[in-house]
Amino acid sequence: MARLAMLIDESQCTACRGCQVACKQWNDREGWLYSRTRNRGSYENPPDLSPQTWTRIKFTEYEGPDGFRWLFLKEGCMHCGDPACVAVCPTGALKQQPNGLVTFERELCNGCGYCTQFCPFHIPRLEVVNPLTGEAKSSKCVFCQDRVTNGLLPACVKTCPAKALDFGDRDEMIAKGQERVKALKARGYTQANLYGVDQLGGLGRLYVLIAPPEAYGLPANPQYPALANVWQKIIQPLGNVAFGATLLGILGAFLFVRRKIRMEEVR
Amino acid sequence: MAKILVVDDDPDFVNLTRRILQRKGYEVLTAASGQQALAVMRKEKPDLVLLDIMMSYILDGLDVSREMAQDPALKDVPVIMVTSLTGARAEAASLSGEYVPVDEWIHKPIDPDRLLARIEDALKGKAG
Amino acid sequence: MTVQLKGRAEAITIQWIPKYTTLERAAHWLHTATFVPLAITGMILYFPFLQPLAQGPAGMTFRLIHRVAAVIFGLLPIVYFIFQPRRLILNIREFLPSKDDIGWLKGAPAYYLLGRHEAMPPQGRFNAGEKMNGLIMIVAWFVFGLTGVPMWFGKGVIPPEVFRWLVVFHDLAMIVSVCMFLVHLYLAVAHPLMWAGLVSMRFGVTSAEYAAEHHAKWYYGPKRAMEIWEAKKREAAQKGGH
Repeated sequence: MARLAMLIDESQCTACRGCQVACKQWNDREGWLYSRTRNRGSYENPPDLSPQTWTRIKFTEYEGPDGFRWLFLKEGCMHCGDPACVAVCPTGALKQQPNGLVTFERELCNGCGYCTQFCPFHIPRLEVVNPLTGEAKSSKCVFCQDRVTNGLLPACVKTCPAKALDFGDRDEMIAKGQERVKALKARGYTQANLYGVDQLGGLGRLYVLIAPPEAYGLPANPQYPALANVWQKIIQPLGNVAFGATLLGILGAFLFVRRKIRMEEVR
Repeated sequence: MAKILVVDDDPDFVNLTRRILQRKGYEVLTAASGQQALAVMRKEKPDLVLLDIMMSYILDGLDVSREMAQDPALKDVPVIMVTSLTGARAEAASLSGEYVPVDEWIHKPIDPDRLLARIEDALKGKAG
Repeated sequence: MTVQLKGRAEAITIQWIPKYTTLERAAHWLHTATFVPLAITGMILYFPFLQPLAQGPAGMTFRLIHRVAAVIFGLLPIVYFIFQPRRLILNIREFLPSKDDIGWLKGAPAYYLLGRHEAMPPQGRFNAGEKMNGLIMIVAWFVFGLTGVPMWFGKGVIPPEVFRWLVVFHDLAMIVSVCMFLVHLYLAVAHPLMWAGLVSMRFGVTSAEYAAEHHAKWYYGPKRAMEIWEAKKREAAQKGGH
């Protein structure tokens, strides 16, 4: 099955934020529970991703070599090719599908929150019901897994009036993005770039950016968290070896000692 | 009045016993281990020793009483062994099966009147 | 106490000496009663093959059990300290390494595996193996607490980069302490030479003869214990015909 991806052309985005609304509408997210509007001196709203806000336009004012730019970034799960969240999830609620989507099964989630701590982009959010008992559920963009598997486009892509969003075969999205970057550069956007081609096994969320990634607050070279690797690939196997060796050692000692020490001689 | 050395590594027991004895007018010295006790005994020459058995090690008190018996300066000092070990065997022989030179045994928790009576008897026995 | 054992012609007598106070024993067993559920519920998140137990409402229940047990586990030494501070400090001091431990390490294989009694130099109230167990558990208590409490309350408060370290150390402490626990369990329950260990932890008393053999320094005092051991070695050497 071909890998799917979303292409977000930030040069076309007008920051109308219809995508935020469409996402909430399709996924039954609350409008004001976590996002009570407060004038913070910016059109940007809500102030952050949350269990109720799976995508969000981030506004940044940027002074670059080409002059002043008002940068818009549609935040959300990157659907990494090498997803750390899937590796650390103890329940299998987070899964990487053959089509590249990192999906989430809410019923399986036990609220441990490891995904929120190991994501290199700090995307998943924990919806905490009770901080004492730890009852919680994780929450993130799933590329409208239910729409996509039924041949539909994700809600945000469907609704974008500026045609800044596209969704389909990843190679096609990459090709389209690279063409757009070429065209932008020809028009004087010297810093235009395509983000997400190779990072972390290739991201499922590709961005056509008109400034360097750092200007948008994106890590230029995001790393798979080293500790996730240490934890899953070194410590856990070593732990299993340690347990196995201990149990075998005890069994061996028990069988050996039975032959050598007689209970009658014990004082 | 007489000088009594109380030897025990449990500070609560030492304080309690010291209060009981001082109220009767005795002068009280203390030590928390066998080694300490012997040092104090040789310096201060108490008239009687209240000796706990288990201190720095299990047989500490027994070793002290044995060393006292072998020391000409100390062998006439009456010793009352205080022990939490129960059972008649504790009195007849020691844990290691050897003879222990001791004047009296008394069990914890101590009954203050009983303790004072035994001390009086032991001191009288020494004088007379 | 007179005991008639099956398979032996004559009854044996056991002289009991106190070793553990009631609070010491209660603390030990309450520690066990919290450590085991903590380990098991933690392992549900650790072993991939236990994934089905980690999922959904069942998973949340196990996490809740983990937290309840953790609170008791964490408060236990503090309560102990409030009620018997001298005893707790005495025990911690007895756990600290000493020169006897080198001797124990050298003599352990011959003693525990082959039953050669003369191979083991006299030990104090705790031998090196018991000290290792105690120290590992004490260190693990600190690590579990210092990592576990922020893991519980700190999500979204402490930086994720720090949180990742906490998880790693929480896991490491679990691996080390559970392995130690398994060895401790075997020696306490199954090893024939260690019979008085479980008795003393249940009833607070140990056999005087057992203590004389296994904790000679604690029983006879350091000087006499060494003398007895030298004599035992000489006897064994003669019998062995060296």
